[in-house]
Amino acid sequence: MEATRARAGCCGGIAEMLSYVIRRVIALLPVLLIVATVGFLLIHLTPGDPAAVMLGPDAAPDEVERARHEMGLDLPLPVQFLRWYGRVLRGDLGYSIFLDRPVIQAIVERLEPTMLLTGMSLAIALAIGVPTGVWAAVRHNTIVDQACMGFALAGVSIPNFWLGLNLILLFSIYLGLFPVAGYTPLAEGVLRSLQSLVLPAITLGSGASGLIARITRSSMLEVLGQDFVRTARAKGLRERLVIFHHALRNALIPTVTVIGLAVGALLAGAVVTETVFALPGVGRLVISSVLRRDYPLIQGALLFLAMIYVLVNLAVDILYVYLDPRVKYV
Amino acid sequence: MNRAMSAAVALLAVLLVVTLLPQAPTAAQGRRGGTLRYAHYAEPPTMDAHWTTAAQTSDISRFVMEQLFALDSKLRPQPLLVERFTTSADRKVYTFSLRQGIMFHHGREMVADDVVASLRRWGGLGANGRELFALVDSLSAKDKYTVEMRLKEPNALVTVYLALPGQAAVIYPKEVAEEAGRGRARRIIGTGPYRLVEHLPDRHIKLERFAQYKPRSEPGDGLAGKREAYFDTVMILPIPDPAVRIAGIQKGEYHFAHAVPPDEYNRLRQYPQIVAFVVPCASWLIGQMNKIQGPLTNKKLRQAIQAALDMEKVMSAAFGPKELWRLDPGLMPKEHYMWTDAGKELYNQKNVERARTLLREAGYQGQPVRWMTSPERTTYYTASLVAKSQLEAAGIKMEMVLVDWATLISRRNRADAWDLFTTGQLAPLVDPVVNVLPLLPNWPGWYESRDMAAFLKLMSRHTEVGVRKDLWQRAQRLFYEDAVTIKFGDFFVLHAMRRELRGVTGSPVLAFLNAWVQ
Repeated sequence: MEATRARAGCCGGIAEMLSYVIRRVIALLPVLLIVATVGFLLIHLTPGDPAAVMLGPDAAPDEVERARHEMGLDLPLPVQFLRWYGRVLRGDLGYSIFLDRPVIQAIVERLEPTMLLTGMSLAIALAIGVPTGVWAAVRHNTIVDQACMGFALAGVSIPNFWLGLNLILLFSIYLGLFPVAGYTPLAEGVLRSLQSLVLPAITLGSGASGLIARITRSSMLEVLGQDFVRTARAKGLRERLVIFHHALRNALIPTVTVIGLAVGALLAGAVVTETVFALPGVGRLVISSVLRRDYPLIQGALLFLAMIYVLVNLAVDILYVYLDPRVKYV
Repeated sequence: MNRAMSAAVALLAVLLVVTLLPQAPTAAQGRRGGTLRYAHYAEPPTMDAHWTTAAQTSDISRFVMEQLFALDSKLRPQPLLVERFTTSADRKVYTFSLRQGIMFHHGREMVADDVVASLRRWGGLGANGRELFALVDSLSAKDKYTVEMRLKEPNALVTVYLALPGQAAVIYPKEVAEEAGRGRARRIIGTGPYRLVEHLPDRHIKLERFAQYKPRSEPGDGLAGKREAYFDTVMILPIPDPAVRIAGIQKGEYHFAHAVPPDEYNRLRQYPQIVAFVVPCASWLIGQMNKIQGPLTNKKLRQAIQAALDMEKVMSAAFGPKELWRLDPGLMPKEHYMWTDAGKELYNQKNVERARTLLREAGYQGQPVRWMTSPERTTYYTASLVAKSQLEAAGIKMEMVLVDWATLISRRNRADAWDLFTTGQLAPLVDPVVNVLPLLPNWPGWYESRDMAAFLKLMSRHTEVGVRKDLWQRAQRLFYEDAVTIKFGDFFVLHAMRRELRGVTGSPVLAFLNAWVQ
């Protein structure tokens, strides 16, 4: 998502920000409608149907047809589309065929593990990515720089499922530190809940940490070469103060942009990670509903994820102003 | 040593040997308590056994729901909720006397009205139910504990239908059956040894011992006889990744990991605390051929395919260790009383020359044969690839159509979408008339044969074993002569379990009805 910003000499006021947020939320509606339309068409043009999946492999074709009829899947596609569209406009995402409950309820039930997983993964990604990027920039063109960037490249390149399975092997089976899979809700114990999320969060966060490290490094390099850094050093400030107080804050804007993108990547990555670790989150809900051809649920989950993605990017745009007073809302 | 002394020593020796022999686990040795943690590969679409043929539903509902009859380990139907039953001399009237004092999980006694309502619903939903109910003239409650089923024509397989473990004729309370109608039952209330407590999709299904369960007095055998709920709680956990299911078994987080890949067999056997549990009931690997549209409507071409294949190569590539598969021309498993090798000369011919001759006789002009398979099912996919190269070597042009499993089971209902597809005829094969899918004219592949229909009809009427076997031999020979379906071979599903888990049954199907943790 591209930030709508302009360089100006002063910061925006609260009224300015509110008006910007309202305009952005209104602009969200056509995005969601496009996602809804494209999602509906893609899903319905894919072969397979939920009736056949749910009745099982030995079901007779006439039984499948009967179930299709009862689910309204034998109606012409435009009719199904208009019916669904009408419901969405009224705020009703429909009813999950497989899970036998409203789509909204199915999504809300899965939010807790996904939100916690995304949050923990992001924290891990930042905790690893930012210091690594800074360190690599400070030790530019040394073995430290190369090692850090090699680490970042590995983080981006290693597939989630492979890393996840190896972490299970090491930390669950050999060391016995974490459960193999599954999720303990917060209500059943915060510590146990977090413990069940550590390995998935490392799995998911490693890719984003590589990305953040690379971006932090390059923007730090750019900032470290600028006049105000030279001035700060010339004033005799300690190097640590120069790097963390002066350079890093200015280098963070591209990193914040990447964080916005990383949230999207983390949500997409959660599809694989939640499946490997059997976490009952939104990501696993998406992949299961695709395999089960649970049309209303796929459509609802797509819309939901698109909305989260757009809102996170809106939050990132607002954050720019805090980080860089030269940016203002237009 | 005098004779008395010798006898005493011999007796002592026998006693010693008997004492030291490893004891087969029996229900009597079971230990009550604890939680069974059962990692399954999939989430069931519903817990309503009437509504779906999905294996995950029957695997799980088996803990909770019961039928009038249940199969023993030799695949014979035995009374379960029925105390006794009688059949009229003309085999048209079946009278079932129900066991008394059997309680549903919501606290009401099961009576004849519940059975009538449940069977009527089942008879209108699944293929097996509809097949039986096409013969039913009337079904009524004669008194509180007696149900009478009158048939339009004699049938010897009523108890077999009622005992089938897939899409089973389970008994719900009348109100539940009626409220569900043709839709999915939302209240899962049965008479089984465990009751459903909580179902959180993709997280767990939680069952608890049903305190008022009244087991039968006969010893447990397969699904029949005594069922003893040893566990306080059963947690069924849907874990989609097989590597994670195995890791959970290794760590001891799960007691049982359902369906693990065959290539894990040798590795699992290296761990002393893990048992590689091979289900003894055979399933078959099927290459189903389209007999109403496309090139395979030509019987000679189907016979050419049958002639060209080397089943050993296909099965060993797909299933690996010899313990997990076998070559067998019999459509019923070798252990079944109806097993025959009739038609064996047409099975596993690996005769490329004969295949080429048949191709010439078929007038084959190199039309592509579209083989639909799903890489999601690794064993089926591997088998298809090996078989494809064998058929191409014989001169048949093959075109692989790779789709996901959901697409395959939907597309196979369209005759224009495929010529061949790979699937499994899953255990248990109970009777040739009842559940050999490729013989059913309405199952994708659409095999229509007046002779086959006549054989099956006669078998459904006869109870005399000799007559049935003779008919089945002729039917199986016809199956091979018509090259109805490629039967590659039998395979045995592999599961992994902790050694401390005892009493798990693999025949006729996987069941934990008398299982406990040592």
